[in-house]
Amino acid sequence: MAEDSGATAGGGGEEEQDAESDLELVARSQGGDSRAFEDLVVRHRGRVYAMIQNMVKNEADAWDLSQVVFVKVWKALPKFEARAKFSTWLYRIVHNVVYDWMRKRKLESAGEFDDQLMKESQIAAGARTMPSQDSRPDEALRNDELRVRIEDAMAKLSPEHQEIVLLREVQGMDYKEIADVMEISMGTVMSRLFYARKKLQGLLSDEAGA
Amino acid sequence: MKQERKEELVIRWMDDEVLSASENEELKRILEAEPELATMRAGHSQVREDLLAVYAEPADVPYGDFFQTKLEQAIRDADEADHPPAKPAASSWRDALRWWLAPVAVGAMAVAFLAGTRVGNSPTPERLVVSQNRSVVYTPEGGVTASIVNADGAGTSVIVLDGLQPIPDSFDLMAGGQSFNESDSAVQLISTQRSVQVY
Repeated sequence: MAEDSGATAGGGGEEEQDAESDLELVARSQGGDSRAFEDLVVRHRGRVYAMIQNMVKNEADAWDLSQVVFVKVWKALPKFEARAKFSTWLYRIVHNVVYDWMRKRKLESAGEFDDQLMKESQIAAGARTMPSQDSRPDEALRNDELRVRIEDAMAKLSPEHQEIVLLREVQGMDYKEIADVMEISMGTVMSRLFYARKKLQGLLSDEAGA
Repeated sequence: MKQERKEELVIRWMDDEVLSASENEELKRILEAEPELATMRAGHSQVREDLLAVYAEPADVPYGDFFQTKLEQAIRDADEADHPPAKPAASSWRDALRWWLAPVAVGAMAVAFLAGTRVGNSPTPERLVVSQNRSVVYTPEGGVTASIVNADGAGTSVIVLDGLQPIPDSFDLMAGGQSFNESDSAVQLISTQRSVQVY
């Protein structure tokens, strides 16, 4: 139980030793303690938002979808049985919400030219999730170049490959957790990771050679 | 060797997982057949480092207080939608009153209208001008819904308009007589003032 403590302050900071575990907060929330639910949201909202933002490439949509995720969490919380880690269960909801949104958007924009998708690797200059650029100008330039290179390559991956790369390399999930979140078999996790990594490396080396 | 088995072994090897002696033997045979996989592993640590640098998470969601307040409201709305307040089974005496209140109200309005026209037509020696400020709800389009969210923590109230078309940058916004834009032409979107004259 204590091992499922989750990240603090949206995952950006270090874990607090004395912080209540996720499962303790879940148990209190299930008992009707809205303050405990608020603590859960505050603890995870940054990571959830970052994950969604990396997948949908739009800050406003990511913000709204994060809201949808936590409303669904609230509604489904009574049914949560601590068999899996709370964070795994949470990311499964994130996965479902994002894929529902993508399906809906695909249906709505069928036949239309979506110029936003053409620029999905670009981030607005004033975007809140951009890292603060207080580094030296040459460092900032290098970081910008790296960002463009990585995001261009990621944008060329399928949504499934993008998601598995983010879950494994950025969120640091193990194979079983990824299988639970994406609702796929372990064999499919390994296969997707294999081809996603291979394709990503190929794209990055193509860009480097260009 | 099955493709699935190869993929699993290579991924675990790339992730520095501990492999058994027999798995190491299998892997050795794979690498002999596909030496480029060794290059893929060598490049992977750099790719992972780059991914982490680019997708470093923000400390928090933007506008965290507002996020929390909006979420509380969304949860309240969802709870109300799931459990609408029960309607009393028996109709109260107020329901019965509605039937005869409607014609009485119409009659009262007609009397008020007649009285108003007579007063309005009578010559008045003194001209009385009353200026009355009245807030008028501005409804730009039929599909727009408005809601107010009070972020107590931040001491702020936010008006959320769903379904509003994007407002061009050239528009000026004014509220309470203060303009928020630099340009000279002020367009008041939030409220309008109307002057009513009574003779």
